[in-house]
Amino acid sequence: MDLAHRHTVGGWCMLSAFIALGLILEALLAFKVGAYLDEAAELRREMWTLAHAHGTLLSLVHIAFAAYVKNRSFDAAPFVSVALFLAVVLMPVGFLLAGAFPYEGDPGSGIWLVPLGGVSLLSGSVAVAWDSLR
Amino acid sequence: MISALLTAVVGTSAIALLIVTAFRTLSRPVALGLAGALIVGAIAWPLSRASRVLRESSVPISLANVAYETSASCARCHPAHVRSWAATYHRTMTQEPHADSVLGDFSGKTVELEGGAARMFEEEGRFVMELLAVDRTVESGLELGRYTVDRLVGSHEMQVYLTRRPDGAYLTLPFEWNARDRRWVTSTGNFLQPPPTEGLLGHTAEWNSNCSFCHNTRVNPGQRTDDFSRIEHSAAQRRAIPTANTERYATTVEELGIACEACHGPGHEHVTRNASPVRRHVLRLAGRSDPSIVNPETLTRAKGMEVCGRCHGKWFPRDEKVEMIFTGGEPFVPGQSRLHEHYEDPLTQRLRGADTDGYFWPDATPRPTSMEYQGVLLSACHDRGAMDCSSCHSMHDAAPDDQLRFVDDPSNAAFEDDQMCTQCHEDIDSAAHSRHPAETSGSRCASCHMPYQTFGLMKAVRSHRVSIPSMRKTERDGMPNACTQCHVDRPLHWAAKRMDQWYGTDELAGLVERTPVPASVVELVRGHALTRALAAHALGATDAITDGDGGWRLRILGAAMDDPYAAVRKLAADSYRNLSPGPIQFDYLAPPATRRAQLEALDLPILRLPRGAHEWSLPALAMDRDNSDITVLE
Repeated sequence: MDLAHRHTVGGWCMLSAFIALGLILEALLAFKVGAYLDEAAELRREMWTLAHAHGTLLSLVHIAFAAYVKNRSFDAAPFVSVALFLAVVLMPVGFLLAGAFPYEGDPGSGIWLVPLGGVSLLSGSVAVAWDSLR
Repeated sequence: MISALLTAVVGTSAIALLIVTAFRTLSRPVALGLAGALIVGAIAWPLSRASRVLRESSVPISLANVAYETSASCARCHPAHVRSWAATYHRTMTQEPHADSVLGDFSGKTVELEGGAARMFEEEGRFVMELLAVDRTVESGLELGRYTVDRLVGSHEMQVYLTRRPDGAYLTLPFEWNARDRRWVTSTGNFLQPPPTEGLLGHTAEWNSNCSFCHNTRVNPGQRTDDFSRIEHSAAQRRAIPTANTERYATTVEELGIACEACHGPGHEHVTRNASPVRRHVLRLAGRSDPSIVNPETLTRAKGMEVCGRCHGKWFPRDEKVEMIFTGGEPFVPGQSRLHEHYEDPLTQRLRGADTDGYFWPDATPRPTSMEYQGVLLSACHDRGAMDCSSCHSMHDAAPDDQLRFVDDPSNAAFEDDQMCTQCHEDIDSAAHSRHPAETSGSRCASCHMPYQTFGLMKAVRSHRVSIPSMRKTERDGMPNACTQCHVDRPLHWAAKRMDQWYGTDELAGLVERTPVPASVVELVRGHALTRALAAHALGATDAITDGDGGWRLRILGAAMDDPYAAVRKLAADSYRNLSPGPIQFDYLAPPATRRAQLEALDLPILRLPRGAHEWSLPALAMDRDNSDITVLE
């Protein structure tokens, strides 16, 4: 499986997964689940909403990257591929974990995965930007 | 912890994968730069920071000179704690006047009480009290005229209104709002004290050097040193001194009301240090307490109790500290210094032989409500057990009324749950021990061991000195006991006999009298003002037990409603209303002639004492009444 195909498949699979997560969050709202809607769960709502948003957007980035590498080959592409996969795992999972086990007023330890995913995403983005400038 | 481990494993693996891939596909300098940044930024720096946090968290910090934040800063990290505090009456103890905080009726009606009159109204968004009449000439900072309400104290039982003078002094206005009864009262008629001799305005007090300390967060009265040296301090506490418009006070308050830092100490260092997310997470993961803030739960019991005891106890500045406190502010920081370093408590004064009758029954049980700390200190449960304030009260997860732990129904804080006691006395079967049927008020621990021996906010309150009922003390000192406070139709010797039979005490032998008159009646007729007030409360309590229909209580309470003490009249009238089948027209603060007319209209039943006690014995008891002046110094 080449890179373009790998990111097309990965992107759509992850998009499906994160859309499903969105539906789950809507269900939690619809069925008024206390663990999600109570005043004390404000941080959890915020974290899980961010997990859904980041996962969905990063899935689209994977699909866009698939389109980018389909007709273009560049040396850093395998690095970007790994960086984007790490980002799409680390950021949503970090937000999910942070919301699942929050402290009062602070997200749980999982939040530390988010900046790591951010660095990964940034390095991948810079590599693509650098390549597109050439 | 599982989440933290998972994060560490996933994070480290991700870093390793990214670095390996970078070396395989990117140029060496770029890969080296990325690897360096990741290793330093994501591993080395957090680890070194974590190690520093762990080191510094074991070093105590002096908070004596640390600046204060406010609850708004606390809410950023502790929203649930701030929300639970915000629901309490601690938060609203002192407030600026606005539509949501003012409880009193400022609709423009004129109120006439105790020979004084005032009209309360709103004008251009301000709340105004216009004093229209006073009955005596008194020394006071207030004269007839309009006073803007500039600040207010209380939001639960009472609300006191303050006006600010040009010299910086906030003076209490003489009409106060009784929130429980939803009516205006006078400050002189709002305490258990002899009938006023100073007149309606005589009770005016300066907030800056009195109420402010316990009703706010870290107060500095800012009394000018020259002014302070000119006025003898105890007089300054009692009475406003009229002065020219020169500044006497530059009072500062860190936060109005009793906010987070009143119990947790000044928060600036805590806020500054914990701006680092690494610090917050490391401390939580390591389970370390943070030395930059006070957590009353982790203090020693003595220090923890002083956090509450500073204000739920009586304290007087030590002579050598008086000027420093009034000019420089509250020196006590919870968990840091000890109260005795700065203050002396009435128990010490009592041991020294000072007159402390306003504070204690003869056996040293506190009389006013504001001495719960001293009451607990004197309890065997504290002395020989583990009891402290938090054994029964919770600041962050209890209903606002009384903030009691273990209350099954938070909407009903009056429910008194035995769990508070069975935490330690786990083997006691309350029904067997009390000899009262289970689930009745007689089987409740507090009913017998925390009787209504305390007075404050114009009501009888449970004593915080956990004690064993004593009929001897009732006879000797007029201090009511739990047995005859419930069994209001029984004489003292009946209760003493039961105590001796059930618990092997020696109460009966210690009694001098064997009158068949119920103890509650003896106390109401013959006792001093505090005894009378507490007896009046007991006679109308919902769980009082009496022979027959108990109609005799209405007659005896009706007599007490003509008592010279406003507090006795008030509690008697409250009890009468509890027992009366219909509403009654009676104002305990009305002029004597009006009150008597209202009493005559009550059509009181003929007095028939229960259980063969003779009514004709009452005049003799009344002749022996203890008419000594009693003041309960709340």
